[in-house]
Formats: sequence, structure tokens, C-alpha cells
Amino acid sequence: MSNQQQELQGDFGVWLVIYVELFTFGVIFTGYSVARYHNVEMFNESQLLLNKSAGFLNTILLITSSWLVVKAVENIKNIYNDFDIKKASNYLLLAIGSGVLFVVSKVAELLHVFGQGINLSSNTFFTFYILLALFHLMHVLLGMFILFVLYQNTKKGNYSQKEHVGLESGALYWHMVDLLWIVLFPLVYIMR
Amino acid sequence: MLIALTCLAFLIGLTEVSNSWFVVVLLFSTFIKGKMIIDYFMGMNEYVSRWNNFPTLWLGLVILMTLGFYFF
Repeated sequence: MSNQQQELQGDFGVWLVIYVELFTFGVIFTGYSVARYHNVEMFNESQLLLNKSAGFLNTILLITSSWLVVKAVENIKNIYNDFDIKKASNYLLLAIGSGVLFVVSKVAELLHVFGQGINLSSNTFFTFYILLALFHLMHVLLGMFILFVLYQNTKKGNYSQKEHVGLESGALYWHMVDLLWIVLFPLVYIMR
Repeated sequence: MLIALTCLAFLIGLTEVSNSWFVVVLLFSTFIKGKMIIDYFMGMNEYVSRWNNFPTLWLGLVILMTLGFYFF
């Protein structure tokens, strides 16, 4: 049985960060559900003002980006020649591109909401929506910075078949950002 | 699979109907999507230890808590 057991991807530090982030977002999601429970009608009415298509597009972009990062890590783990390094760095570049599109879409969506005269104090729904959107966006921006560093390191050939913990750790952070959005999208945009 | 389940969620959203069954399907599909990310993207399906279940436990708790506040 122990032969089948593999080591956990990434280093301990990144898992610590992931656990803390999951806990923090878990508390916010709980707060959202409690607030919704106390005023379902207001939450349902306010939700109609959100752009579901933008939320859908953002979900597709993050899933695609996460998948591209998986492919990059796979290429480094099974590295054979310089072509694999190039492929891995290209996957990372495309993942960053998807992240950029997510940011553009999210900023446009937020500007549209603010343009309607909605702000943090409009109602409880929008307080949660704006806080969750901005908090998650901060994580996306940090994730993109990490992906950029990984891209540069990959391009320089700093990762090998045996030494790629840094790449795995950065990838794990990006997957966590994706996981958080996977829960946030139906909770805030769809469920009524 | 992830894209297909996201399309399903979007289609449910387009109906703009408050329906208990839609919510059950929506949250169940969200759990499946999250589990796939945890298992296949984060590589947890290949790892066996007591820490293995934390992200899945977190996901399950969030989904159950959401369902709980929706129905009670």
C-alpha cells in the first residue's frame, strides 16, 4: 500500500496558505448564507442585477487556466528535452492570458455595477457581492504574479523532472483560486 | 466535464426560477466540480494521508451549510 502512496504536491507552506484561505472564504460563504436566510427576497431581487453571462465566462476562463497550469506541470514532470520546457512555458503563458481576461471581465463587471449607483452600503447582498468579488480578485492578481514568476523560471530551465516543487506550489495556489470561484459562482450568481 | 457542469449551472441560472430541485442539482454539481479540481488538478487523488480529506471536507461543509440555510 505504501508503494502506491505518493508525496503531496507542493511544499508545506503553500498548503498552510491554502488551508487558511479556504477557512477564511468558508467563513465569508457562511456569512453570506446566514444573511440570505434572513432576507431571501432582497437577495433574489438584487441577484437579478448581476451579469450571469460574465460570471459564466469567468468560470470558463479560470477552469481553462487551471487546466493549462496542470498541463505545464505535467510537461515538466515528464520533461524529455528543450521542447517540453518550451511547451510548459507556453502553457503557463496561456494560463496567464486567461487570468488577464478574467481580470478584464471582472473589472468591467464591477464598473458596470458601480455605474448603476450600487456600492458597499446599498444592501447586504451587494456588501457581500462586492467584498467577495474584490477579495477574490486580489487572489487572482496574486496568482497571476506567481504564474508569471513560474513562467520566467520555467523558461530559464530552472525546473527539472526531479526539482519542481516551486512550480507545483504555485500551481496549487492557482487551483485554490479556481476552487474558490467554483463555489462563489453558483452561490452568488445562480442560487435563488 | 467541468465545462459541461458549468454550462448546466448557467442554464439553471438563466431560468431565474426559485426551485428547490434546481438548487439541489446546482449544489451537487458544484460539489462534483470542486472535487474534480481537488482530486485531479491539485493531485489529491494520488495522495493518501489524514490531510487528504481537508479540502474535500471544506467543500462538503460549505455545500451542506448552504443547503441547510436554504431549506431550513
